[in-house]
Amino acid sequence: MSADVRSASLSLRQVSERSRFGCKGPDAEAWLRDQGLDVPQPPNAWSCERGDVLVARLATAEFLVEALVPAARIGEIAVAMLDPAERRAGLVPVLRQDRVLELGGARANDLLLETCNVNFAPLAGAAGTNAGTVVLTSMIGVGVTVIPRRVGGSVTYTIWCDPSYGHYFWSTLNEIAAEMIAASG
Amino acid sequence: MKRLAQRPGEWIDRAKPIAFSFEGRQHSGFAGDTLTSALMANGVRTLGRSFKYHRRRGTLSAANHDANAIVQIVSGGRSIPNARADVLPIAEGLAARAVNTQGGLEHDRRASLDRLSAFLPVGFYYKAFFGKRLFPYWERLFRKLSGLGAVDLGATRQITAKRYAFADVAVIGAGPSGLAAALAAAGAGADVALIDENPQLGGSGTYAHHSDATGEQRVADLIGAVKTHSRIRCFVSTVVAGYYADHWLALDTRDRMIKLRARSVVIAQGAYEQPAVFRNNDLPGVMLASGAQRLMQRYGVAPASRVAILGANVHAYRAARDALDAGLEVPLLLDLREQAGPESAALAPTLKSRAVRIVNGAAVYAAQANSAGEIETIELAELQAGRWHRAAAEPVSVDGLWMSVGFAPADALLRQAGAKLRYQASASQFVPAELPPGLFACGKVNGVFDLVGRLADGARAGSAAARHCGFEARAGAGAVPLDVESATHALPIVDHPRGKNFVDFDEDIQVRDLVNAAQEGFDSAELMKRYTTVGMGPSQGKHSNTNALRVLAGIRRVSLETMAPTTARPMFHPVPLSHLAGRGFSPERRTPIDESHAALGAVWMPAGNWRRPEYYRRAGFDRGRCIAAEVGAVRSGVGLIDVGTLGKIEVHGAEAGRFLDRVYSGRFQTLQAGMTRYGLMLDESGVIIDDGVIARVAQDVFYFTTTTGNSATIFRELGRLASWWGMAVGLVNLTGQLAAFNLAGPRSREVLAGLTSIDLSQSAFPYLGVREGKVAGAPARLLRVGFVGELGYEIHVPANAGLDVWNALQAAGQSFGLAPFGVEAQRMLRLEKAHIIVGQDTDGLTNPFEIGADWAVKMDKGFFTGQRSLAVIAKQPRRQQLVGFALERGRRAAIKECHLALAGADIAGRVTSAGYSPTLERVIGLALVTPAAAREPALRIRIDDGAEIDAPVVAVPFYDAAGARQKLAATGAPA
Repeated sequence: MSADVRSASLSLRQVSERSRFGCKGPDAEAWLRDQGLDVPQPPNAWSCERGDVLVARLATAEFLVEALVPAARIGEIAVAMLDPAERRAGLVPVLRQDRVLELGGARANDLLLETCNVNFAPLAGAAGTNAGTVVLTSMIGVGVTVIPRRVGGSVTYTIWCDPSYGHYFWSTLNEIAAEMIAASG
Repeated sequence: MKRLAQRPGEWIDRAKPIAFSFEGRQHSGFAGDTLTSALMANGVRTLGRSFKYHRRRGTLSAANHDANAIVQIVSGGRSIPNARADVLPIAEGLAARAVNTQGGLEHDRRASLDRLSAFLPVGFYYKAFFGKRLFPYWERLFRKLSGLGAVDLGATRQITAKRYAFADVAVIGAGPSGLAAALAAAGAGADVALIDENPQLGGSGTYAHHSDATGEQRVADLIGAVKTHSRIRCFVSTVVAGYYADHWLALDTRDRMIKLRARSVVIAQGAYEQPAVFRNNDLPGVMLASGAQRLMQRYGVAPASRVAILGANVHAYRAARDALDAGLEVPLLLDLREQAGPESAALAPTLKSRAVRIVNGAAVYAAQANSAGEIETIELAELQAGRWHRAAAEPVSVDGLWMSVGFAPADALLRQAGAKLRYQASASQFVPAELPPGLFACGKVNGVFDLVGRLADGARAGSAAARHCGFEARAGAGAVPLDVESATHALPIVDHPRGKNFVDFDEDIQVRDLVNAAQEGFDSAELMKRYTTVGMGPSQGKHSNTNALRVLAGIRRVSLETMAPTTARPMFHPVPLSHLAGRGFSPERRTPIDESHAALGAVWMPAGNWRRPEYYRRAGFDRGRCIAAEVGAVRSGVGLIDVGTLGKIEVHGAEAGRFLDRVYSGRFQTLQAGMTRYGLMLDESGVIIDDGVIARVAQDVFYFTTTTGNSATIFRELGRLASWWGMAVGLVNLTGQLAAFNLAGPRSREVLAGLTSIDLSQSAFPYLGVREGKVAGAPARLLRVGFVGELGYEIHVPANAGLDVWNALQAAGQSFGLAPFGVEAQRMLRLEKAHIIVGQDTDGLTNPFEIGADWAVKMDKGFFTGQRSLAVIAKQPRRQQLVGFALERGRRAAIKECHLALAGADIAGRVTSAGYSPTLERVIGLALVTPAAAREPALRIRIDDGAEIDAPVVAVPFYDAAGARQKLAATGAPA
């Protein structure tokens, strides 16, 4: 698999190695709060109050939890969820072995316009550092979860996809990004 | 023909000459010229040959719709067919040739077809194929004669990536009304996309003169305002080729397709000027007046030197004035109307003072060609008792005839969007009667042709479109009234006993073709279109549909109000295939073991959207021997296959068992935790749609597999059913999140034992059991299944741990002779056991009874999908039955899937699976056949070369009928 793409106007890198887990069900929200996590209230929203753990609500009652820094020890929470003693009817663990990419740079929206039918421009304009919108959509034929997030003054798009599409997804985006970088000199 | 003096606002740059060639002859033009304008400036008026009769044709509209001026070009080392000369920009070194000729444009050998036209009547193509004997002859002939241009088979693929674009308001058409609409919408705060097929903004405002003396300046001011407006994006040289639900527009630009999503849309596409119909109305030199105006105003080209005008509106009078102003001679203006309208009448004295003879109630009866095949004289027609007849007047010598008899609104996108249109008799055109939400129309499509009216109508529509998006825009004053003088004549058609009065220039369709079609019964617009092909050529009826409808209305003696135009479908305008193809995305899934497969020598095959190893190469072995070796390894020792492509789904909740009882035909509420059971999934008609193994891993947690290709569909359907049935279950799709392997063979337990602490003994982990624990340090779920008919374990682990576990199994199996095996070996192994593959051994009509799976159907339980249909099917005779067949040992025949099973001369069924079993050393297979054929001692199978093979019907399974090997209690290799 090719290496990360970086240029002044467009960057694409893999961040799949981050720890993450998922859960769903009517008790999932309360359970996550019990673990001390900040859970976004509206559907399709994310929050990252402390800056180290991102909690995304996917639709209404499914959640994706990801450590943004290695020090954020969410693995223990995931293990706790799988503990038979913790099991409850309304809490369903969801294994998340996703391929995760981060897309950034001034031409990031150009790449999105060539690969996805969602208009990210207004979402990027409204993107926050600690909270924002989750987009569940399809890119280049693959179901994805996308979060525009303001990092250091510019917008970065974090994109999760099923790991079995990982090679195709990464190599195709890489190819398009490389073309764009070449075209822009 | 000549270049005129430089004109204000012209599109060419006279400081930049460009050399190009046409039909092998060198010419020169200017930057900004189209091929048509440059050739006309060089005195070339014959630009192509017609499709059917190979008649000489010139430019008609010079507006992107000239279907008879189509060329093959060589530019930049690429040969591109079917470029439109009327919009193709010339470039240095461009080489163009007319398409559809044999021997070149001037000496086209197929021109003789024009003289044979009497033998090529309407419907000729269809009738030619009536006779079976001559079918091949006609097919060869038509294939040879038909088609435009030649595809360069050596061309390399050009990636033309599609793009998405978004706007609050999309305005289609950048003429005066579109410019006004865009400014109004943007002024209200909307983000506007303004789209036009021309390379520059302004539409008819850039070539047609107006009743308002300040019109030109007003249009120029609008263009300037649009170009500098921060909320207006202009897409020029861009055709909106299709309109789709939710205001999705397909934009065909010069480089690519853009899919634009707007919140509201304004259609301001104007109208297509329509030709008059008379004998020889297709001669080079006969053209639309608007086409002539475009050539003069935009490109500084005079299309003729002595021109007659055939008109029925004020635009004809203005065109005459333009011609005079350009220094052309205009001896005659024929006005179809017996009484000119007030605006025309106001211009008439000026024209007469400049020596233009104006004749009212007159038309062209026929045009005659000179030796070069271009217009030389016209014969006049006069009205007598409501019909056109040849006038006694002498023919008039001209080298140009410009027609301005009316317009047809560019309403195809409106109709694609679901707008309802009605015929407005006072305007002689269809106008919108009802528009869907978010869609607005303005200008000529509304029947408003006057500049002041169009600007007001555009502003009204633009404001309304912005309001639709939630912006505060001033409410308009309502509909703009139609012009006092209609722009369109109701019947600009002159019949002629010798025909060649063309209604459709694309397909060479004359008036009598339409009359004959109606006489043969094709007397509705849709039927006539298909029988005559009117409107089906490259211009998609832009210049023919209206006149064809008029002819049909006349034949049926009905008014146009009672007739509907033919259906408008995307693409509205021809689109390069490369643009439609775009980049081309083919999502491919790979398991976590993919790189290891490659290292092991995998030969890949597609399975659903996955890539899987078909088999693994072995030095010195061909494909068959590689597969046989893999089969042998599983039967005699141990094999390992990556089955991560299987669908993998969890169902959680107290109702999970009851939910699965409704989804599958078997019984699962009673399944004990720690055990698995095979399940068949049916649709409402009782047809098998999927199968898999369902494991109960806890009292309220089930885990099951689906077939490789069906996982996404099944997961979606289960979500729908859970919601529909109101059942509190949690569904989790783990298909890509888990890796899975099948470790199979009599020594599989020994291999696995070293990697897990799970008790693998028969008593602790029996056949069909499921256990959870760790394998090679990874959390794992183990299913003891027997798809390949040996002791075996499906091992499911998190995808990220998959490769490590796979490698650990490979290493542990080394001393046992473990071999990886691919899909083909697995197919043979399961065939030996007669285990079906859904979709291969079943089809879209197969129910469980037909494959002998009655045991998997529990009719006595509560409701399940397909149950009611099966209750009916159970009482009926079987339609087909799955049977096994096997050839005698040593007898080889290339029996393959889908070969027919015969019963006498009738088809009795088909082979669903077949192959050479290395274990049994014979060809074996399964076939779905009629019950009668199944009772015969042998199936008669017709193979590829037509030979018929008698294949004895045998009992299945072919191998280990009792299933003792997969249930094996003891470890160790079989005897």
